[in-house]
Amino acid sequence: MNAVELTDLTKHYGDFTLDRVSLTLPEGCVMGLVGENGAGKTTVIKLLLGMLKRDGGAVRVLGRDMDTDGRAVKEELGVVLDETGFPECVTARQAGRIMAAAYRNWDARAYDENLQKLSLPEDKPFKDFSRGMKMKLSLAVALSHNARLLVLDEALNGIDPVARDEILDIFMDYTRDEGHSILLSSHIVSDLEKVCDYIAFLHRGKLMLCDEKDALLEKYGLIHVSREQLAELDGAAVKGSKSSPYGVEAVVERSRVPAGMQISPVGLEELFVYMARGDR
Amino acid sequence: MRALFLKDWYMARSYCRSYLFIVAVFAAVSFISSESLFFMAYPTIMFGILPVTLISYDERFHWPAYAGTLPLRRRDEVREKYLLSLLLIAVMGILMTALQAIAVLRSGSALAEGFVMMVVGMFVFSLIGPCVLLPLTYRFGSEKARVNFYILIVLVAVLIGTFSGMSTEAHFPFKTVYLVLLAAVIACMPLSYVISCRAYEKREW
Repeated sequence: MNAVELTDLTKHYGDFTLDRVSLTLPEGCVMGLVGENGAGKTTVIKLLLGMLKRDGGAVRVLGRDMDTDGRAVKEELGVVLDETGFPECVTARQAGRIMAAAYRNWDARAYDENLQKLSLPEDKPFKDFSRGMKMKLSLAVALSHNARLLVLDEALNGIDPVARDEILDIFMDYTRDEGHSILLSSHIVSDLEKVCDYIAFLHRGKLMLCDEKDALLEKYGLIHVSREQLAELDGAAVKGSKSSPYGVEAVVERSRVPAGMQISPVGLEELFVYMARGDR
Repeated sequence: MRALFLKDWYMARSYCRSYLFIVAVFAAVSFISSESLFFMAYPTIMFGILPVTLISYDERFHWPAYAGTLPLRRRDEVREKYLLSLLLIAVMGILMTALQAIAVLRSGSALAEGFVMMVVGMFVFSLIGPCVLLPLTYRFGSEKARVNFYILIVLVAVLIGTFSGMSTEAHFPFKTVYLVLLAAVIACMPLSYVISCRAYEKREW
């Protein structure tokens, strides 16, 4: 079963269109949604959760249609948004009480354990939490009602590297259960590289690629050539390039360049930066 | 919906303490100057629109977006605010009625028809608040609806003043007017709820 299936997801704003985005996250896997600011990552997540009305396409989550079964599906979703959403006056203990009334499968013991694991004070008001603590509290809630899918929108942004590392460890623990999946959007590609099985790259509202992380790293490479050598290559092979007085650096599709050409491995961050820049 | 009541309880406890001070002052004045509709109705009106204040806090803390990720229907959120409003009006209305009754009886008067009409008037003016403000707030958001809030407060104050003035005129049928107004506002409440639900369903976060 697929944890997420988006088919031709479309949303129009005045100056932005999310253009027929289709992607599939198999159950038990982690998918990173990456792209520059305004690429459409948050729009995809909000459409998936039904927080925005879509102009086209279909959304299935955990094998069910979000239009007809959205409420039941949300019982099995753990969501962490960029803005956490808790009233600033509530404490972690009170947040737990609210969530216990909201979720049928609320596990109070798991919540207490998560608070301890994440070193969160139970009786401190939310307004006195740092951004990292706020995110951790959202995560503690998301992990305390037997959710089968975690959806995280920019949840790691603005958090110090130590806290981020702790959170990534929690994600890895979570996905040890084969029925657990994660969809997370982030700018921090190095984090995604650590935990993701699949990567989806959005650019200006279009899905540029969506594939297994390892397959992407095998498929693409980095070359250092002269302008003349670059001009001789198949145009479709070059995904993005950067010129300097010393030549051109380009990300290419390995299978489309002549055999024998020296190709270095490319990191995900370089791949996305070059693809987003094109041939600028 | 219990989750929403609980959240609002925590928020009201933290952010709306000043309401208790207002109630205390107005209750005291109402007790001293008995048969003043304004002093009797004001605390009930304020408590009736307390959910509107809570909506503005919700928006400030990005709660509506977060609530969209929880297994809650949007109409549950709207319904909770209406029920909370009605509950607060009922509790405060009963309290103010009891206080006023004690004040009237202490002054040696009887609880005559005038007193009953004052109670009816209090509920009429208290119900107008949520009936008008909740759909506006759900449609336009708390910031844009804030101006409506102040307009409504002024309007209700003017109405109460006008009715209080007219009630001194012997031929003014204020009993009929109050009962018609009460029937009208009760009839409008379901309509207000439906408009709020539709407006909130259309909002995107």
